[in-house]
Amino acid sequence: MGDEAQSAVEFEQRVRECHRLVFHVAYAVLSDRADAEEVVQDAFFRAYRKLSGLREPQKFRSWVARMGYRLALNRRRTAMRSLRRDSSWQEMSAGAHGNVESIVAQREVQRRLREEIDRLPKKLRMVVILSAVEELDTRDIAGVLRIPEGTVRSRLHLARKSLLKAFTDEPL
Amino acid sequence: MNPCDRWRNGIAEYALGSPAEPGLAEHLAKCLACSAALAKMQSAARAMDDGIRQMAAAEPDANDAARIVAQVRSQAEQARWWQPPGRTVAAAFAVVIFLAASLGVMWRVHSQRENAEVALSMATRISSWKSPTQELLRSPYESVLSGTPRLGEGFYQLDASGLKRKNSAAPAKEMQKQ
Repeated sequence: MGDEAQSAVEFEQRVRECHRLVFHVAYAVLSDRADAEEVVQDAFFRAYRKLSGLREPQKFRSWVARMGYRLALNRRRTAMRSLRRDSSWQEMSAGAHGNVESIVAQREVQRRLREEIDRLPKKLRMVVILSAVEELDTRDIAGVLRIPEGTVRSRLHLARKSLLKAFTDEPL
Repeated sequence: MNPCDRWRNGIAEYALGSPAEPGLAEHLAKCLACSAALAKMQSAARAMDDGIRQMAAAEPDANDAARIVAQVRSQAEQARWWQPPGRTVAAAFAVVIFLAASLGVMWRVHSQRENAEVALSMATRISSWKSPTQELLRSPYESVLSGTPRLGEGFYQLDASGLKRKNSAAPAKEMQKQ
């Protein structure tokens, strides 16, 4: 097998391993399935083109996650598509409970949560958003944001405290 | 100031999962308002954490990986077609620069040579040019004046018949020609 074919196979393998993570990162930032899919596509295309410049291949996962995160942020900033958010995640989560009242209540909580997260300072907001991705632990988030793990923990704590304050100041 | 206010931050921290401050458990045991506040905060924290987890709960399509790989390949092919490799562009650019520089140098050398030839031709023509009156104004003693007499010797002697050569034969011949 030639070098090119070998690297194509390796790349395909990496896409299979990481596309779900990149999708979750993009979706957490954008809350829109179509936008998230486009970001994933773009992130892997860039990764494919820059693959030879990756000095530590074992860091592909956090590298491509960071790429997806940056692309999602850019898209969110420029297009402001968050205005027409996909609500499929709300439906998925609400479906498990099975009654209309809980669905409505949960949607309301999630709508308010999004609003409160959007009000957080950028540094705290990004840590909260990335903490929503189950595949990312504190170390991974630190890698994506390029900050120390301790900073991730303290920012996450501050963000949760701010959100809790915002939630409990008004009746839920 | 409400005496419970000093516990407000500790209750929030506890609701978020931090260890309880010293004395908080005793206070909660005897303060219904703070116990209620803690219950409310714990409920809010659970809802908040559930909500945060749901933010990324969507799943990509099962065939996404294959679709991504196919599209990346297709995009890469297009990019390769429209954008030649950087090395090729750089080499072509270098060749163009080299050719332009060579042509420039050749043109400069050629024009310098032409200028030099024109200047030489003009100088030759100027140096060989003689005015029509030059022959008429020519002195008969030019050859005498261009020579150098020996020490103590005179060239000419004047007598009644005119100028005569005294010591040298050449000036006398000149005079005879005149």
